[in-house]
Amino acid sequence: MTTPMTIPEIEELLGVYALDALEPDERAIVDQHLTSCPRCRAELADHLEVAALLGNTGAPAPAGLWSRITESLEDPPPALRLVLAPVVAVASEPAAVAAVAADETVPPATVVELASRSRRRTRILFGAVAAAVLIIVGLGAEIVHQERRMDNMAAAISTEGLQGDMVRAMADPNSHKMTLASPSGEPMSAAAVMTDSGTGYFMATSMPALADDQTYQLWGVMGDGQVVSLGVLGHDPQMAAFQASGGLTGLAVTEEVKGGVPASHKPAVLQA
Amino acid sequence: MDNDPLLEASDAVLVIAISRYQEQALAEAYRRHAGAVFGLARRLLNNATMAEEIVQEVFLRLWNQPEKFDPERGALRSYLLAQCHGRSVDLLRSESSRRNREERDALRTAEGGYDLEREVLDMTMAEHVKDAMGNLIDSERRAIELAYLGGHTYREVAVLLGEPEGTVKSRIRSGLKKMRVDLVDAGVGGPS
Repeated sequence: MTTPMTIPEIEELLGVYALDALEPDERAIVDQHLTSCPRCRAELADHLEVAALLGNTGAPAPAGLWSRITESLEDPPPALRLVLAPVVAVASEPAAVAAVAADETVPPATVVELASRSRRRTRILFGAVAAAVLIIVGLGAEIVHQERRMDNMAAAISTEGLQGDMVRAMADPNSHKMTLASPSGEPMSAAAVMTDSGTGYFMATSMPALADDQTYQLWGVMGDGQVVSLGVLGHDPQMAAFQASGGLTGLAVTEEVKGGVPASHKPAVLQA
Repeated sequence: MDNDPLLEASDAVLVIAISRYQEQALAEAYRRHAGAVFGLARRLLNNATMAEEIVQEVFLRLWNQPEKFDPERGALRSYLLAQCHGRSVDLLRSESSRRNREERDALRTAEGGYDLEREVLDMTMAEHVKDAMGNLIDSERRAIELAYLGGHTYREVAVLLGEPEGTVKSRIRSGLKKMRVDLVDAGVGGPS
C-alpha cells in the first residue's frame, strides 16, 4: 500500500478481516487502526461472532486429545524459596500493608515454598512487629513474570462481563462482602465480595486515577497472616475478579509502579 | 466435579483462572469450546489429524498467553475460533498444503460446492444459520463461503467470482451484517 487508507476504506475491510481473507499488508493497517477505534472493534466483534456460528459444525473433539494437551502443558517450575530480608521498622508508615493483618500474633517470618502450580503466586510473610514491613528479596524474574501474566489479564477483562458475576456474588447470602476504606481518611473507597468458591470481585467506588506509569495493586491477608498479591488493578481501576484460596481475612490496596511488585513496602491506601 | 465452581464460571472468570495456572479452568474451557474448534479446523483442512494439531495449538496458546484474549473484542468462543481459523488458513495457504487443498477443492466441487445447509445440520443453531445464509443474495453467500470456509483471500475470491475486489469486500461486509441482524432477531448472538 503506497497511499494511506481512509477510515471508510479501513471499515470496508472489517468483514474481510474477520474471515482472515485480507492480505498481510492490509491486515497490519487494520490492526493498527483497531488499537484506537472502539467502533471498529465493536463491528469486528460482531463479524467474528457470525463467523464463529458459520464454522461451528457441532462435532465433538476427538477422545484422547485433551490428554495430549495436558501432556504438553509446561512442567511446573521448581519450588520457589522466598528469602526474607531483615525486619525493617517503618514507624512513619503506620498503615503499611503489614498492618492490615488480622492477627498480630503471627509467629516470626518463616520460609514458604511455592510447590504447586495452582498456587504459583507471590507470598509475602511478615512478623508481629507493629508497623513493621518485611521485604522479600531474592525473587527471580519468574515471579515477576507470573505477576504480570495475572496483571495483564486483570487489565484485559472488561467490566461488562464481570458486572453480572459480581452482582450474583453480592446476592449470594453465603458470600462475604467487604468495604475498603482509606486508613488515613482520604475520600476514596472500594467494595469487594468473596464467594465460597474462592472467586472474589473488586469494584472501585471512588479511586482517583494514578499516573500512567503507576498502578493500584490488590493484596489479600490470609488467616495464617500471609499477605498475598491478588493482582494489579491498573492505574484507573473499575472492576476486577481475583482468586484467593480459602482463609482470606482482609484486603489491602497499595499504589505501585506499573506492572506491580512482588512485595510491597508501601502504605495501604485502602484496606478492609 | 458436581460442585466445581468452574462449571458455573463465566468465560471471563475462566480465563482469569487460566492466567493463574489453574488447569481445571483450561479443562472447562476445553469442554465448552473444543468441539467447535475441532469442527472448524477439520472442515477447513479436511484432515482430522491436522485439525487435532490445531486444537492443541489453540488451547496451548490460551494456556500460555491468556492475556491475548481481549473480552472487548468478543466472546471466548469467537476468539478461539478466530485463532483456529487463522492458523488453519495459514496451513491451507502454505506450499506444503497446496496439494491437500487442491484435492479438497476438487472433492468439494464434485460434491456440488460448499453445502452449508447440509454441513451444519447437527448444530443447535443450524436452522437459524441456514435461514440467515438463505436470506443473503447469492454473490454475498458465495463470497463469504469462499473466504471463510475455502480459506481464500478476498482477492482470490474476486478472481474466482469474476467480480471487482471492492465489490467482494463490500459484499462480505454487508453479508455478515445482514446475517447478524437475522441471527440476533432469532435470539442467536447478543445485540451490538
